[in-house]
Amino acid sequence: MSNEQIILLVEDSDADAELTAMAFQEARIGNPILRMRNGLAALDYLFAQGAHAGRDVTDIPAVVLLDLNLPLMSGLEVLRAIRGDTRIRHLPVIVLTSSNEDKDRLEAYDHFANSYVQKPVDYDQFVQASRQLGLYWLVLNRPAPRRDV
Amino acid sequence: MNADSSNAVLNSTRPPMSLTDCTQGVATATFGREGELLLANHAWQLLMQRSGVGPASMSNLLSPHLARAWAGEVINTRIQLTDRQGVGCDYQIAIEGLQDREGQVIALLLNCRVVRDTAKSDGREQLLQARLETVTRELDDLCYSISHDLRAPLRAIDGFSGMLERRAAERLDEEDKRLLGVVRDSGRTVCRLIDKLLLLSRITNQPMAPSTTDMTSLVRDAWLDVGGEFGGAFEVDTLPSVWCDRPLLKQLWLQLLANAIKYRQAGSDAHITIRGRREEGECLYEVCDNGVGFDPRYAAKLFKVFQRLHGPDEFPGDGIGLAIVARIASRHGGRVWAQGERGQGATFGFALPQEALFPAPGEMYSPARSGH
Repeated sequence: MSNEQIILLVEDSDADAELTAMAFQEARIGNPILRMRNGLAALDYLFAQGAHAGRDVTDIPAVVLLDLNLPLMSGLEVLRAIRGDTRIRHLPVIVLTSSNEDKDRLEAYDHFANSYVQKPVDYDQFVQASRQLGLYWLVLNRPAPRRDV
Repeated sequence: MNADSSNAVLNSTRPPMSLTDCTQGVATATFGREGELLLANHAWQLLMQRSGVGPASMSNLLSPHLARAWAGEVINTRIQLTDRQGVGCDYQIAIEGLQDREGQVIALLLNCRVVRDTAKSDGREQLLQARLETVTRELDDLCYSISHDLRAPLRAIDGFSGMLERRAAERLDEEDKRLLGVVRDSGRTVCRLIDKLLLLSRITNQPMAPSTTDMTSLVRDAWLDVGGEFGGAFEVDTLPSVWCDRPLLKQLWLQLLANAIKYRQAGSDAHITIRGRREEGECLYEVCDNGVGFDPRYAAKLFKVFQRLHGPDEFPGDGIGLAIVARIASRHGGRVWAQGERGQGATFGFALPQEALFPAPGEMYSPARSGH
């Protein structure tokens, strides 16, 4: 089942989204990547509403890769919405961002991010980081069991 | 509480004893129950002379506070005094009761420091202050946006050219690959420069939290971070402790140590020695090595951003490390220097004021340093 579980990538930059997809592919992570361009679209998907109405809300992604600088709704707001809903609050959320500012890191953890990873500029390091992320979050880490709603 | 004593007029004649001045310009005085001056330092007497307020008007200004202080309260207040020339000045005053064994307040301790000259602060200075705050905020925003937005296209440059390199590997000849390599290397160089400049900016702007710092242990701490690859001898003398911001000074040591390691001479026994001493009100520290040294004619250039005396093919670097050292020293009211000869090793030194310059002028004084 874990192979079928999607990785939800919330990323506004096309180049970064493509790079992330390439890096994961090169790191041999087979899970399909579903990409959302902004926070609202991501929440619509997670809460099975709007364009995703009717989707099974308990069918949660294996992991969310969340950029912080997003249009319409910031990554932190997305994170707050996820942690505020009992159905999906256990979802592993990895903040994946360009910034290594203390302020951003602190805020991400204050909003209960599971992990904070700075996107390396060096592509080879990015592939390396993706491999480690995949290994840890998709293989080693045991997610919370499905909640009986 | 004794109602009489709260109304007692403070006396400003010479006290029976005086304090030596170790209080960094803070005027300090102690008064007894009758308002008699028991103990005062030189700064207090200067203040009394300069402010031109008689003891009676001083008592009037402070009387509600004095009463509360006699009742055991710790007072922190700000008053404005006008000196004999009619120039106004703000003072931060802290008043605290000195208690005997029974907890009875038997004397009052007054600490008083100049907060700002009102004359300088009408209009122009406030304008400058507001402008400074705006510029600082804009600079913060700029750095933030650099750290986010400039990295993204760099990542794309490196990522996509890397991808091209892999996909087209069979179609590209060696020269094509070299050209692609130049693109990738340049992107990474820009990224490294951005990181270093952000570090420099952070070092210039981040608030300082100074404390008395054991420099010997700080140097050893920094060495643990960078000294691993150094094969030579490393020695640290006992260094004088100093009042400074520990994280900033660690950054300073990291830069100096990394430099001494980087510029070692190939094929000889390298050694690095850290020395320190107190001299004429300063704490001096030096990093001495027997590395490649430098041409002393250009010593002044060393501490400037992006100035390098060695080509990147000789020693890689960005010319930011020593600029960081100079910024940190100058934020502490200190100075830096460099001595060396080509092939004869180098000594990089810095000196910090032995006495605390903190809190910086303009910041409020609080006796317990608790407010900040």
